Amino acid sequence: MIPHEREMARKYAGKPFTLLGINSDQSRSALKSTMEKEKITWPNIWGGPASSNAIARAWEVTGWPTLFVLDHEGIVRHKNLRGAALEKAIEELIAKVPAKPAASSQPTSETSEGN
Amino acid sequence: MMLGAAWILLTAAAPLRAADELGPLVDSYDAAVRAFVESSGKAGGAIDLTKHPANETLPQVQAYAETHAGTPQAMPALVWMLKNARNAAGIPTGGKVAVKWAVDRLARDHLGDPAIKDALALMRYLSFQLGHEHLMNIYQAVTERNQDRAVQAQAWLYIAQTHFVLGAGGEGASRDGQTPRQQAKAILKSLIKDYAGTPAAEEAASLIKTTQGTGIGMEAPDIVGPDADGKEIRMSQFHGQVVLLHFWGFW
Repeated sequence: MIPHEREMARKYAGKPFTLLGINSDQSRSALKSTMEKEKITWPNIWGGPASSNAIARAWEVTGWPTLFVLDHEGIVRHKNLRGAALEKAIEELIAKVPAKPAASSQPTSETSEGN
Repeated sequence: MMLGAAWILLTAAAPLRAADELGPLVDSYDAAVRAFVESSGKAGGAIDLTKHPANETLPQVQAYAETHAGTPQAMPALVWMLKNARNAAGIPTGGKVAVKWAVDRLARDHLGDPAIKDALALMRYLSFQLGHEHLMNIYQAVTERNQDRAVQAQAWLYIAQTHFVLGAGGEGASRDGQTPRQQAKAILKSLIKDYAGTPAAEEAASLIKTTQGTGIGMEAPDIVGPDADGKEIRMSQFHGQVVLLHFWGFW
């Protein structure tokens, strides 16, 4: 799995795209050594061991790995796509991101939808 | 049809017997229900709703509501009908016509009455009988016509809940590209903000928490946690970008 993630991180570098890992290793130090060994450069959150990983529970993740694709508005668009279908879905969503000057990783303000 | 004829007679005769006060009528009904339940228990537990006291009281309460139509006095009678008409199984239509009548009266005469609060709470449970669309129109009208802030907030809460119900059943048209769930959430968020301090806003806040989920088409809840070095990361930092969320681990 990881080689494909690494490839996508490289392929979409500079695009409005982020790979975010939610890791279930036994400890933060285990994650740290895995990241070094596997050359993982994208952000990862350590959520705790699988049996007690609250983030996985909130997302109803019961198998690993599990992948979700979120669009630029934070709406969940796809779950568990793999390979070429995953890349196609990501590219379609990237194409829908409105162009803006230098996409900042830090939002200036929480935009609320309201009604 | 004999029963049908009896119903017509009852409704026709009812206005003549409209009680001067609702209180004693309702009190004697409550006493009759207790006696009815007790005697049903003695008779072996089976409750025969065709003999339920509601069959007798419903036309009287309806007559009272009719006599006081358009005044605040009608309200408690209409609320009583929403609550109790279903027990009147001896009346053909099982009280359904009476319920619909009461809801029509509420929508016609009482949208601006703060006391519509109790009726709104009961109407929610009649959605399968009355239809979601019909109820939504009433809630909407309450938000526009009622001056009471808490009542407006309550109506918005029920509108949001109805969107959730429609979304869960896969019904409900998307509007402005939003799914019913997204519409519901947008309404809840505005409700929490615009009606802060009302009971409905508090309920909305707890509702929005329990409906955080991860289904396709839903707004993702934020994720917060430490990275490998213990530094906090939030998924919302990446808002505005496409995010591939990768749950993984070696263990």
